[in-house]
Amino acid sequence: MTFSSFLELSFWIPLLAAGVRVATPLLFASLGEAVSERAGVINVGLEGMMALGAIVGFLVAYWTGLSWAGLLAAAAAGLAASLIFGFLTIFRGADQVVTGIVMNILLLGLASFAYASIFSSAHVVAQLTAIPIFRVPWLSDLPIIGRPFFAQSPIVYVVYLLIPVFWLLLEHSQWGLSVRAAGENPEAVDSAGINIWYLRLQAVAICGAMAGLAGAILAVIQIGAYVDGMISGRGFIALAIVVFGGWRPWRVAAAALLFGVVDAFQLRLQVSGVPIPSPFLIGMPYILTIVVVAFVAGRAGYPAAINKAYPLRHFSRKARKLLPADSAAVHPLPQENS
Amino acid sequence: MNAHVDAPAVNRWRPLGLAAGLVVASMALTGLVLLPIGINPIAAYAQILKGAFGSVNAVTEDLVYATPIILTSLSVILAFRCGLWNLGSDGQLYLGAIATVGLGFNRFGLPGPALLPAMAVAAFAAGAAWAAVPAVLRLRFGASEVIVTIMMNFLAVTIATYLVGGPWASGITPATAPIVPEGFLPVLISGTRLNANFLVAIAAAAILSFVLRRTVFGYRLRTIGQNVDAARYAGMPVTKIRFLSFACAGGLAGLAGFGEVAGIYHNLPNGLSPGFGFTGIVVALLARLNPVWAVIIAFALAALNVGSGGMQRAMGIPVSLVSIMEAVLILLVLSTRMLERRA
Repeated sequence: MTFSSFLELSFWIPLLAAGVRVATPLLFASLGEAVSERAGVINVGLEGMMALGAIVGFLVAYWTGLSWAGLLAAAAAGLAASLIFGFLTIFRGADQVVTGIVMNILLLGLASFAYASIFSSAHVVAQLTAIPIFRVPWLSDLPIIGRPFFAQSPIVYVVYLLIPVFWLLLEHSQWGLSVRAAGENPEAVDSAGINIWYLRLQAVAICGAMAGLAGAILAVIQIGAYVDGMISGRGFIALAIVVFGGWRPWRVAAAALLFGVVDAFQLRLQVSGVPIPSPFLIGMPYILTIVVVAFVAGRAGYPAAINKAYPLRHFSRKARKLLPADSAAVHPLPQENS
Repeated sequence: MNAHVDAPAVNRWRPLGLAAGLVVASMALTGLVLLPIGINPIAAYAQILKGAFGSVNAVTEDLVYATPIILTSLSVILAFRCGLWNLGSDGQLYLGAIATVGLGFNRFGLPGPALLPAMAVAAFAAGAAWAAVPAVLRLRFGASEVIVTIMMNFLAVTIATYLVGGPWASGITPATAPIVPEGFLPVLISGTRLNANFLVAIAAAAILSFVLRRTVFGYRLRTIGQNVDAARYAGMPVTKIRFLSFACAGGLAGLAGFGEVAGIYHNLPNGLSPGFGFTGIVVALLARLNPVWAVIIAFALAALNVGSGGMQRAMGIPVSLVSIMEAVLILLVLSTRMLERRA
């Protein structure tokens, strides 16, 4: 590969197409995470929920032969896992980062266990049939952007729809307003008579379902197989994408695309055999994540109430007594007459 | 129990009873994943016990496995005690191992007796340097150390894989060429793999426990962990102490890598760490960030891991059963609120 080939469209168009492909699962996970974080719950268990989605999606697609059934099952599995996470963090006041990390250990272990015990005797790697790409009529013939954006697997078009849906949901709906308030000023939500715990659980459930889908897209649609460790940090990269995108769906989408293109770029360089030591290539997405988190995200502010459990005032006095002292201090209970 | 007699004693033993109950509950819950593949959980657990304690060699293997876990858990504890997350002990362990191997080839011609200490210092320094990156990014730029340390783990593994496959390849096995024999850690019990790094780990736990409880540095560190604003208001050099403890946390994990290379493998193999870093987190949480308890719990989890290796060989059950069990146990602990963030 010579330097001049970087200047030609024949290099950039396939690169952009690959970038869109790589970005798709990342975007699913990031959109869900954006909702959850906006509600004040940071879900570090994204990585594990993606792994769970990958194995469940793969198994169901493998057994039924229907990839959409795999995707649905993966969403349901991710949702179920996020309910455990939500129960502990929202209703039991457990630290969100601790719980998320332990969920990762649990779900990565579960995924690996399921695959190893089901396919231990088989010597061939179980493969799914590839899903053909779908060319959108007319749009795929557009110059430059036609091929990268409109000659893709159908799931990519789903994500195009999801970006505005999440945007409307989060920034232009009553529910979204409550969610954003739950992340910034939970007392206000509570005093408006909204059940903040249930609201947060909804946000976490959306996040879990999206993470499950993200994993299944990777396993069922893009790779067609399950491999241990296939998520390889994508859950954490998605966390960085959310921060980079400033918790806003359109910007999150742009950030995901950037990560996708960088990953596709390093894959291309690896294949082309340029004399750059492989850690610099394979490590590119990880280094980009670090740079983004350090120099872009450091200044951006997380929602104010992130990782702060809201005291369970409406539950029994016994339950309230069990709350950690600091969470009560951060969110003093509203006075009766204020 | 009679309420009139010695009421505080009831409180002291209750957590232990609850803990025992939670262990049993987590074993029962984990057993559920064995049922669909047609295995009796009790038979599997019996096999784990046999694999962990069935012979003298098995017990020394438990200690061998406990060594890196003690060090990585101390690493997590040290960072957590001043309110920072070190999820990067796996990567720091790899850097320590890389530094150990790099010096262990002895291309610089160090005299024999100086080699081992030099390797240990280099491993500590490499781990500390690797941890210094997320520490600086967090303390200077406010970057989430959770994300950065995880990314640094992937980078460390990438570098190790590159060295094993490229510049340091032995050409025969998926490992680097061996280090010189002067760089081997002495074995404690001949015929086993139990080496002197076990004593290093125990000493590290004792030192950390002492530092945290009995020194000004430890007092400041704990204050920062409990309330940063109060510590700052009291005029403590918060950033400096946090940086130092995070770097030392990396150094401890680096020592774990030193032990694996100089004590066990005598080279750098691919996939050196089967998740020692994450087991270290599990240990730290279950020990409630207490270094002495960390040693005890590390031994228990090491026995669980070694035993599950035996279970896998005997019954074909994947070892990932252990991480499920560990995670279920912590989730149960979280749901009972026994484990408050006690920095």
